[in-house]
Amino acid sequence: MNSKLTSKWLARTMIYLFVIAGACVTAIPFLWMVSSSLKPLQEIFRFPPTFFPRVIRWQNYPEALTSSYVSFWVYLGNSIKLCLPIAVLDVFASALVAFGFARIRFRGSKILFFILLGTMMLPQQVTMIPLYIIFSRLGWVNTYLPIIVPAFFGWPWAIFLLRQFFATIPDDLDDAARIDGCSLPRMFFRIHLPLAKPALGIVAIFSFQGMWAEVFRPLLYLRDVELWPLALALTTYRGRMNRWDYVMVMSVIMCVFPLLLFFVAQRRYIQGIVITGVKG
Amino acid sequence: MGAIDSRLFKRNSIAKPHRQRSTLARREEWIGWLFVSPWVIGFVLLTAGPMLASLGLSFTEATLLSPPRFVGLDNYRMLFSTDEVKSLFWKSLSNTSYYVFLSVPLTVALGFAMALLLNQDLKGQGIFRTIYYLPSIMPPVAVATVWTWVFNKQYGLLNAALAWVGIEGPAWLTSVEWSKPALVISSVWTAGGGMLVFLAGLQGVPTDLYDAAKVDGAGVWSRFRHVTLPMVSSTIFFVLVTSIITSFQVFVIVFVFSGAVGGSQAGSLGGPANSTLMYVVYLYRLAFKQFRMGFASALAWIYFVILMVFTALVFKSSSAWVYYEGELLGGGDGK
Amino acid sequence: MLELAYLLNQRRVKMEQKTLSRREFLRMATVAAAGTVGAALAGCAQPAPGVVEKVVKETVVVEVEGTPEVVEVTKIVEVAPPLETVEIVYLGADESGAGAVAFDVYTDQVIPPFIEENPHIKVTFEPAVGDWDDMIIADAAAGTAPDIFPHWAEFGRRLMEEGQMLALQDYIPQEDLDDFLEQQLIACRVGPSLFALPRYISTVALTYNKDYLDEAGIEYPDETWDWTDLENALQQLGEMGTSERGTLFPYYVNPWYQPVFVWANGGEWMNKEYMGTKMLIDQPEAMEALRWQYDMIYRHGYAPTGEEVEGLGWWEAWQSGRFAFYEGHSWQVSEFVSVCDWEWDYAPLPKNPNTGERGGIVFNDSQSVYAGTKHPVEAVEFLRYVSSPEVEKIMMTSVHGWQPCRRSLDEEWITESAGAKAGKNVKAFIDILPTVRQDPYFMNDAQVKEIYEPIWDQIWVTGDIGLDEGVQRIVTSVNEYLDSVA
Repeated sequence: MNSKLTSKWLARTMIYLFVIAGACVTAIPFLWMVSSSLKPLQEIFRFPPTFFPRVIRWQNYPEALTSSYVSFWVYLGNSIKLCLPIAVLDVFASALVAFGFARIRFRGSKILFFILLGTMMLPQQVTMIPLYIIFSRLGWVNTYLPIIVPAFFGWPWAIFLLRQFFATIPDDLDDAARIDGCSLPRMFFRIHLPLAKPALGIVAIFSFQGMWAEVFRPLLYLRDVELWPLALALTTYRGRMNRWDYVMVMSVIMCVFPLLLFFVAQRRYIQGIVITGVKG
Repeated sequence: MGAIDSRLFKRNSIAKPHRQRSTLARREEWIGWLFVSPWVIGFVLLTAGPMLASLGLSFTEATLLSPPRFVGLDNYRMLFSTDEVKSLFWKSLSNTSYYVFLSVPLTVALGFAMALLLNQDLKGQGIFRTIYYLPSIMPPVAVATVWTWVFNKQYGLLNAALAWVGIEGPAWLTSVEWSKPALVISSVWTAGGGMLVFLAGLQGVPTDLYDAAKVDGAGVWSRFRHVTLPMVSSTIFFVLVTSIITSFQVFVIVFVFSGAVGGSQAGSLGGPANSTLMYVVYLYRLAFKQFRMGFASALAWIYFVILMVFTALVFKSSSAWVYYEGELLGGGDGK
Repeated sequence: MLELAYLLNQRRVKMEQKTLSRREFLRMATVAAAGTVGAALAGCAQPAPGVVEKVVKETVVVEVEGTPEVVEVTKIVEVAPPLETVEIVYLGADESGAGAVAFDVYTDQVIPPFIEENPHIKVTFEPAVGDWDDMIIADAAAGTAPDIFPHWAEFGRRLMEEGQMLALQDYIPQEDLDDFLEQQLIACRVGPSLFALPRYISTVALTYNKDYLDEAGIEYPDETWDWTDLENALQQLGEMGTSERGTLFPYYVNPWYQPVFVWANGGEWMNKEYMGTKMLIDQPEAMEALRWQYDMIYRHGYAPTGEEVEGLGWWEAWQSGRFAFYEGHSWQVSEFVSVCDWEWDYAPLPKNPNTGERGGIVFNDSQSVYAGTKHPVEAVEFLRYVSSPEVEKIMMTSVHGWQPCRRSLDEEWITESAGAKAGKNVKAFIDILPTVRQDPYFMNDAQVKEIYEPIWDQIWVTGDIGLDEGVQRIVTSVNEYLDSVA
């Protein structure tokens, strides 16, 4: 009896040790970034580098954020205006398409799915300019359209992910629902979507983060600086790369929002353990 | 074992009645297309065009700023040349393969392991998960800067840790032999992304299966082998395939490590002596520095073919080890 | 689709160019005609389409039988039509690292006076950030690039060769061009056409850390110094050990700016002044210079190897405060002034003991009008404005701290620039101008760089290949390639 408890205790301690060790290794670069953002520039160049700043320079933050253009909050608002709709669209559009691939038998679905995978395999650098020309001819340059509209059509990575998820849901559920007279679309909304909540959460988080960090498409498509999302706008604050102190400040700021968002989201979407079962 | 197996692995297809192919099936087809239509429309409108355009460009000499000149298969022929002045295809492909074959197994395995650990009922789960997610949200510039310091020969953390165990670490980023391993190491640090997907997958394993197995007297390892692994295999499959696809396209991290970091000491874009020249980086150099869009497009399409073949192989293998509780109807795996 | 886009661009450009010459002529004609008696004769000519004839009354002094008399004369004068509002986009860059403050200089100081003079032209400013060079390439392919934009050697030259810039030679008067360095203008020309105007001069001077020199008891460098003086100083500095900032080094070798030394020693980098078709660095004079630099790192240890300063790019090397001598560029002056918290100054590059020459290098940083611009008249006017002495002065005294490319402003640079105000000897950047040459640029330069960069890395950064062997390999491969595309 005692040995079983101790072995359990030992196992838990080992787990904690691994998790904490891993967390430390993972967190160090982040902490370094934060600490560098508070160092005076000369200290950043020091070799050997210091981990903790000898002198904490809070002024780095207000200094790095001076601009008479448009206020920081406008940029932040732009980012939200872009990231939220895109995350929502990505989730729903991808879920729809994934359901079709996973649960419905129709001719050509195999080929279509491979084409879908194929779109992930062609490096973007060669399709970027023709795509830009299309949007330019449509007159969508300097609007959010070229960035948001594609989200209506789903996100291949997410479609693949959700398709895997839907496939793990037992068939019996489908059959039971069908017997009850439930149509496919209703099944989708009532049964499959709720069951895939963890995966939907992941898609939302990754989609949001992807858009949050994007710099090149906004640079390419948005002419007016007032429209710029935060990630791009921050590059106007610092000019060239060698003000490492300001670069670190920008980087820290870019991390804050997604971090908070993630902490909240993972609580809601991934925390609960999903109990599935074939209900009578 | 047999008793556990049969209860867990329900073979659904046997019990299914044979459907009539007429009205029901046709309506189902129509609905299937309806569900998939958003992507199909998007593909036709926005993706197919540029993809075809680049395919067309691959048969030309084009800069996109002047009319393209048809050259037939010349680009493709030159691409395969082993003369490095003509084509860095082989070099960049070998660099990329090195990176992919090391980094993918490591990150997938590590991500899975961490997900397993974090799926236990631990205190501070949320905080740990957030910490492991940090690498995914750090801007590439910051990542590159911090890692440059980590990899520094004299004072970097990595060599300090190695010195602790009595090993003299190399000059990671400025050496031709060690620049790739450095990239692999920094990619392992980002395993947190995969970990999240695995977590979601683990969450999808029904608890009653675990209970049933426990009742049957199955130990931890047995439960893992017979419940967890099969139920999560579809997620493992997903992470494996997408990791392969995305790591074959590695670009940003090379760019910031060796190219754009303030007149980098590591020489030119692609590491010292092209040692970290990854395929997509080479493509970028061709398209945006040398303005050789035609040649770059040919490279892109060859890559496409390589990736397709690779992925198809992984799919084919999946029927042996990937299990779907429900029957996977559309997009058959390796069947 | 792409071919069509290109053809449409070309058509538009040709049409606009015709209109430009017409209108420009009329403008000049109007200026000459207004207010003189001869205007009446001019007024009799058939006005060009779109031009308005105005009837004005003017008082003129005329001699009537020996006595001056004031007479009212009615004349017909040709006036340019009221101009419709036009919008042009100006992309401006910041090399100072000051970020937003630097961009504000454009919007607050540079653009407003122009708008006042030309109320019908609305200038929209776009800051050049991130991968803006890639953005311009995409824009050019789609035909929507900014009307006026900056560029530099490799990137700009390619765009120039692809016909993406408006030819300017007919609109810039010769006395304007004379004010620029011919060495800079070489890079702005393709054949007889001028496609760009320089933005600022970027040249090199010897930067030295007074604190370290004081400690070692070395005299500060001046314009009499030559290579042996420098070497002596480096030897005296010897092992500098470490400080708070890290390991200290007497000197910094920049692998990418070796041509200066090759030229100073009487060698050549390539066979032509620009768009070279043969690489010549294996010749004895060139090799001697390269070896001098190479030995600094690998024989004497005055300069660090690649791995000793890993993580410190050449842009930041000086600012880390770990070097006693460094070759600073003129665009870095204002940065250094704001960041370096020790005593330092500039001196002209030391002369070569054999030839007595300093050598000197100047880089291609210019700006152009996009060939596909919808408003070439206004864009060219703006370009001329932006390269005028007034604007150059603004940029020089602002946080940008550009060294003006107009020679007429040399004095101002020496006395009023940001560096001068901080008490630095920025005259060093002027002293070198008589001997500067344009940074070497080969035919198909991008592909040439692809060949020589990996080997160059291995010579200077990783030390894997020796200098002689490496240079041999490079020269053979590069010349082989250049011959094949000749």
